[in-house]
Amino acid sequence: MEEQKVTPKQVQKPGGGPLAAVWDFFASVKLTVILLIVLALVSVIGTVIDQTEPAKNLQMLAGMFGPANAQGALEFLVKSGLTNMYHSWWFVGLLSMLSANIFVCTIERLPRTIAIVTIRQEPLTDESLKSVNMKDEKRMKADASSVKEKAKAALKSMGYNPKEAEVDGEIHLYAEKGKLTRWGVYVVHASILVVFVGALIGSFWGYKAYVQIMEGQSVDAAQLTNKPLLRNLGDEVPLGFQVRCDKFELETYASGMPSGYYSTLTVIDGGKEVAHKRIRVNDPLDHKSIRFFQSSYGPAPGNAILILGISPKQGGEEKFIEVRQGGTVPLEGTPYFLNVGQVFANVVMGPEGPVVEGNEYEGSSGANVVILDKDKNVVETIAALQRFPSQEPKSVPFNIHIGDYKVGPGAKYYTGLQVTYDPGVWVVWIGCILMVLGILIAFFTSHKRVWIRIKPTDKSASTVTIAGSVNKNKYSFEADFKKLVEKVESH
Amino acid sequence: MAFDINIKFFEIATFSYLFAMVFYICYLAFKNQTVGKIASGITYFGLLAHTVSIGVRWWESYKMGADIGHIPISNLFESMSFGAWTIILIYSLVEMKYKNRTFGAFIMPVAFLAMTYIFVAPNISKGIEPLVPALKSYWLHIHVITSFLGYAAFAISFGVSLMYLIVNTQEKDRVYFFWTVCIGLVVAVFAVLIADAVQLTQSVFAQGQGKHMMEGSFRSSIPAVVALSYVFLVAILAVSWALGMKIRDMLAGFANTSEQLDEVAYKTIAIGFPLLTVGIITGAVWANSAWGTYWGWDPKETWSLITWLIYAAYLHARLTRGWRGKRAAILSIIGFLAVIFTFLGVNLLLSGLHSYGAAG
Ligand code: HEM
Repeated sequence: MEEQKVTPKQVQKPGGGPLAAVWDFFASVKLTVILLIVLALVSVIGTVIDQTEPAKNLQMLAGMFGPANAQGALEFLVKSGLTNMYHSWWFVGLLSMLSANIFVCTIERLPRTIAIVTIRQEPLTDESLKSVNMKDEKRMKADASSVKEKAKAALKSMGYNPKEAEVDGEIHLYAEKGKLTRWGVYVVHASILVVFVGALIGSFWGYKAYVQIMEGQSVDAAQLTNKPLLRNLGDEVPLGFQVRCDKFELETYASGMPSGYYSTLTVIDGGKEVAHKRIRVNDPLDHKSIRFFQSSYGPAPGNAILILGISPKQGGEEKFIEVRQGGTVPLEGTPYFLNVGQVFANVVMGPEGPVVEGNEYEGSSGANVVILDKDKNVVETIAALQRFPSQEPKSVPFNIHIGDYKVGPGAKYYTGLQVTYDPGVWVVWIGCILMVLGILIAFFTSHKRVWIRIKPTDKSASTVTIAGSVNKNKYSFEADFKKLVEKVESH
Repeated sequence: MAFDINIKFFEIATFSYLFAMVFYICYLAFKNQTVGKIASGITYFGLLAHTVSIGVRWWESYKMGADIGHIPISNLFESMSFGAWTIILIYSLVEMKYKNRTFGAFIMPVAFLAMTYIFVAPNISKGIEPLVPALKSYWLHIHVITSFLGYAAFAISFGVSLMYLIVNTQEKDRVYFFWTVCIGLVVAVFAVLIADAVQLTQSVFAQGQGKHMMEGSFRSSIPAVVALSYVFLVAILAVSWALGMKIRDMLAGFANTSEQLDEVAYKTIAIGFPLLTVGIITGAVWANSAWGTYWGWDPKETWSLITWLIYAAYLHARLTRGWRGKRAAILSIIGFLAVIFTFLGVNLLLSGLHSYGAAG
């Protein structure tokens, strides 16, 4: 097949100067295609370079440039915004260009669409017959008015509402449908701008924070975990009301794997208890558009009991000892003591070592185990793990591993809540709905026009001309058109 | 395992797709209508078995316990199986509508290899597992289903576009180079996946550490294995390049359909694009209801956006700049390579938050 080329329509702008040049630059659909592809390409970078924590890239960089240069390479990445790429000035710049592109293209094309949509359909002429997509002509052995009735019925049965006219003794029927579907593309493009506006509102006025509440206690502020444009990371955000955790519950499957966890929260606003809800993952508490998500949990300090497996480095039998979180026990056969610091119920192995997963339970615990000398001075701290190999201590001839982890009977828990506030989210959803509607209209509907001209040749015969035009989806229109022709010309 | 009737049907479906693939290739080679009809028959049979497998798995999950029961699209095995099922389903519909069996030889290998891989890979669990709490959401199901339907449509557009390029090849030019390399890459990736699965029975995966793809080949700790893998890749590419003209001759008899191929490739993208859009949006709704953020730029999300952008570029190039034929076909192929990466690469090469897709 020959490669077809469609020459883009040139809109002649009066005047000139730099402003017009910028306008013309953004008026091009070629720019759209380039921008979309460039956005796709640079987005790839952000999936290779870890965006959550710059230091997570050290290992990869060490592999690429050697361990000696890794730190320098990381600094370069951080400076150029590559470790927080999707918020860097140049990525935001690309999105702004896309927005400008959409805006200018829309304005450029608007007059033509308005013209098409407002213009009234005219009866068929020999001139206009030349530019239609489909036509059919036949002599029929029937008089004009009976052909007209049949044609009218055929049009109506296919959902058209025909207009009639008589020009020079010829009978004209003509109808169109789906005129407004021409706006589908505009809806799609506007929806993208709407989504952007919603995202902007969120990044200026919204925030994401985290708070831990012990059972029975309450809080009135949370710590920011992302950086909204108008605040600093780590800032406390006042909630404007108090939240109390009345109770935390953990449910398990028969296998012991947690199947769900619940916190019963009470909101105290202006000294009154105004809301009360048992929340769980996926089902947050919402007060004044601030949402509290169940995100993690753990035993309140001093409530976890670790069973540590102690095995001699040169081999030998493993011994188990129980240590309460925060407690200190002597390490048999050495002058050292072990102290258990923070305990995490959900540790996974990241590419660079163990990480605590805030959100998902992994059935694998970890703890910081501190090795103390006889005067209780800290010698070293190791990460002891349950499912993965623990860090090897240097000061003692033993390896320390978590054998199991339990929570003492009647123990108290803390609930870890993610706090989010995003005033732009509804704007984003409206944009999304518009986008889907717009795409459906743009792809699957079309503006169809049909004309029927009946020319009486004598008393009992006439020539029928049927013509049709469509702005897209020609194939399905072709089938429709054939059906119409059959209906009109059948006996 | 008590609950493995679904696996039996899965096996039947996999073998059916293998036989269908052989028959479709023979159909191309000998242009015999009966062979083509047999190929279609086997495909429909496989699709039926596959449907039963998914349905039975669903039922079995409820039999295991009311709190375990869930629609079977929650781990890598289930979602890949569902993906292959949608590919075959959409392919069957396209085959019936366009009365053209030529794409079968391109679609069947994709489904067959995907299913074989998830079946033999030791790090992909085939069992029915309880869902972690975050995954119990209807939005998530709609998200997975629409995304997969979209990806399946793109898979077909990929097969059809590849075929378009092949039948329109006259000489060993740049386009020839492009499509032979694509075929070579796809074959090599799947060969490596299967080699991985066969080799790495215990060593890396058993400790729950290595979850990366290609640790049995390109990312092996043994230099000789790495070297061999590269030799193998180059060899496959060379073979594909050398045999390209043979492949073209095999398909040349269908050259008169090339305009139809172009049209089918576009139509399937026009179906896939809205589905992917809905998929991304429902994913965002789910993320917002589960984590409080609708978009987190995690690798999986970002790759689905990359895919979306590529197909948006395709649509604009085609509808407003008049791209047809070879250029459009190349863009459609690149789009599907991004789909494959979204699917396999992100899960197995990059790490992400999406536990339902993660291996293990
Ligand atoms: C990611 C962003 C975009 C998406 C998802 C998108 C989507 C679409 C869709 C679905 C269509 C309908 C195709 C059809 O007629 O069936 C379309 C057409 C079009 N788009 Fe976009 N678009 C995007 C960005 C842009 C931008 C930035 C421009 C700027 C110039 C643009 C210009 C056009 C034009 C001129 C058309 C053709 C309208 C016509 O057929 O009259 N698009 N776009």
